[in-house]
Amino acid sequence: MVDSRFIKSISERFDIEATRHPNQLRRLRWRITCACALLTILIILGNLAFSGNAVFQSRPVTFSHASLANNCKKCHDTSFQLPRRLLGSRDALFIHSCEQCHEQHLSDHHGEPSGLTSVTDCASCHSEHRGQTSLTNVSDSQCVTCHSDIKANTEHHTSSFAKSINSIDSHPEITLLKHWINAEPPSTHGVHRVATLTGNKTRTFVDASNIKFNHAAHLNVSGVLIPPDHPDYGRPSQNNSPTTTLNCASCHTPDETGRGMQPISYENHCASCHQLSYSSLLAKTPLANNAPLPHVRPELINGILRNRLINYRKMQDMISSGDSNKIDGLGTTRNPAKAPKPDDAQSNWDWVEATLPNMQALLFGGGNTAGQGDLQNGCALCHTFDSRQNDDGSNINWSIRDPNIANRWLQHAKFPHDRHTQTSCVECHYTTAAKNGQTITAEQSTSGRDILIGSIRKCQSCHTDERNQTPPVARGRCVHCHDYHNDHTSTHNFKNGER
Amino acid sequence: MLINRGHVAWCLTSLGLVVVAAGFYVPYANNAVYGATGNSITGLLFGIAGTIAMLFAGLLAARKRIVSKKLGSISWWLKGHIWIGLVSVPLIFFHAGFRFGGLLEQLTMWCFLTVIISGVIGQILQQLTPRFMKTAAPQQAIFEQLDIAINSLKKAADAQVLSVYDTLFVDVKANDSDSPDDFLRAFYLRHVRTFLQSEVDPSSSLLNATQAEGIFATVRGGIPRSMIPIAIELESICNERRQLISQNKLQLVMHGWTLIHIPLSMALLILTLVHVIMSLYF
Repeated sequence: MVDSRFIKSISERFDIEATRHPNQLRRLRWRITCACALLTILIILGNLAFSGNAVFQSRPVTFSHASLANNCKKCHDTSFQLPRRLLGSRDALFIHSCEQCHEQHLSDHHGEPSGLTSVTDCASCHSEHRGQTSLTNVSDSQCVTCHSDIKANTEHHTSSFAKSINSIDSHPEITLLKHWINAEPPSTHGVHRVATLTGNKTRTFVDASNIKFNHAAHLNVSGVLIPPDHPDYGRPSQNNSPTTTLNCASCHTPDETGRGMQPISYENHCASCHQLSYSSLLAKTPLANNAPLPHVRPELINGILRNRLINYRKMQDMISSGDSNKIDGLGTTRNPAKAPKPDDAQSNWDWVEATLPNMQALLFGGGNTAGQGDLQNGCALCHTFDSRQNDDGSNINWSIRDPNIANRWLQHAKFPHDRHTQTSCVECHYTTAAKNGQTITAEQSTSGRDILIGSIRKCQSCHTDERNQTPPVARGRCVHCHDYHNDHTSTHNFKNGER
Repeated sequence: MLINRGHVAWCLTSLGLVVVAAGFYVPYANNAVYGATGNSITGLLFGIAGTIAMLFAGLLAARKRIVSKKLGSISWWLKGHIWIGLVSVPLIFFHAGFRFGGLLEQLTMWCFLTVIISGVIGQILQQLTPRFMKTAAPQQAIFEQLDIAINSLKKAADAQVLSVYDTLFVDVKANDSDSPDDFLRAFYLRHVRTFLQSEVDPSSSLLNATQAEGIFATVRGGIPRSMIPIAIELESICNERRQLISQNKLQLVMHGWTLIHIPLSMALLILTLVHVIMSLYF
């Protein structure tokens, strides 16, 4: 419709004073705005009164800190913490609050991270206000921050670890099981405590326990020989035979946590069969104190032997008999190679010193000198000796290589055995012989130098990156196996399982 | 304000800003250990940018009260209000990591979204309503002076009736309203003059144009020929009054959304201020 009015008629109805009159819509809008502002302030204050500072939380705290939900100052103990932290103020870090209750120290982790991606605060990994989740459930992304390119991100032990790991799927083989062809490992961080490198062209690690142990012999399905005083000797369950059947659990028993294994010790795991009852030379002499030798160092054994030989000589000298070859009333004859000496301390001592090396050779060097029945063996059956002859050709100094049975093989990882009970021991504990690649299980291993630790490939058969799991099997997060707060100084000593 | 070709530059600039922001956000969100959060450096920067955008949009109200050419034209500020205000939406979402957070954050976010949506709706209404108004009310008056225009129409109608009658207000019941001479006055007092008040009875028969046309045709048939021009003029005045009614309704549609948009903007300002202070404090 066209406007049929004329300008004059329109102008007659225009009030130039109209702008002085209040605009109803504006007045209404202004009043609503004021009311809205007031209402907003009241809502904030009301929530503050009823809920406390929780009204300002972006998300609830984790359940482990639920008791602190309304006590923000317990953790946020510094005003304007966020901007101060972002500006690099160390006073604003959360670590100061965390240490009120937690004793962990960031320096536990290996190496000092570089400034570029340094972890300077607990909250860097343990991010709070993520609702119902575990604070220790650290995302892999946090670890990958450094380990995606370890060389660029840290200066410490850069050559010891794999250059790049992004998830368990890309996790390299553990160092203990690696082979180096015409090369050497760049570093053996921690590995040298439990293994030594051997080989020429193809170098591999072998068990550095200095103990000779044949798993196959001990786990023989036909059983192993036991001494007459063994609890299982002659049992009907053993068909009255002098044997018993061993399995992995016979020696490898879980520790108090269930995650690891009890340290292997002679007293607990070997002594019942491998007894140190001394040799036939003095076995039938009641004066000779035929108590079993203690399981101690050769130096102490030497002292015990000397003591027993001295006693033997003294006993011998006390017997007055016409038969110069008789030693005692039981018919024991002296060593025909040794002529009886007159009662002379010096001559007794000389005799002992002259006799001792022979006994050492018999005892330490092996042979049927100790034990009973079919288990007569010398120390060299299990131990590795270093013998050095004196410059003048007299005597041989027997020194035993310190046993180093590892209580913990993986220096930088943890394996909870109690969570893997559905898996048999030999499924993981096997080795791949270097020469032909044949798999040798623990039951088949004949050498104490075999490292029977499960390969990473075995782990990866179940544990995968959960983002790639179809269907999901077992999670493979870094924190499941590795601890950031790893006090590696506690894993230095492994003598006979001691820490 | 109508969205026309003058907004192209603003539109493209805003789009470019959003694309750049998204270019920063995507790798940041993918690489963030626990996802994008507001307390990371990048998240904080997004928050600052989004807040600046919101404050810029809010400065339009202040600019309207300051009369100064040095600050740029109101048209420029209104364009900025629209487009920079829209850019603030992705920026705030990037800051929050597409999460709504705790109680205060949720309140702020919902308030923010309501402001944005009401603004978008308002802009759409302001884009389309004038066209309706042009066709529905070609004889529109200045909205703030509608009462004055209505009063003028009433005076003009009174003058028309008084040109044929000596007096306007008589006792209609006492007089013979069936007389053709009084018919027009009676009709005027009962129907037309009430229709020309500021508040119109919703049941008035003159509200409907077609119905009003029929009524006036009947009236013209029942009055002396000398009064027919008066009746025609009264009909024209009633048509104009109907247009003013339509104009009023359309104006309320066009501006009524500000009753939601502006108060909530104030609430948003307060909530944002509290959120910024408390987030930084803790």
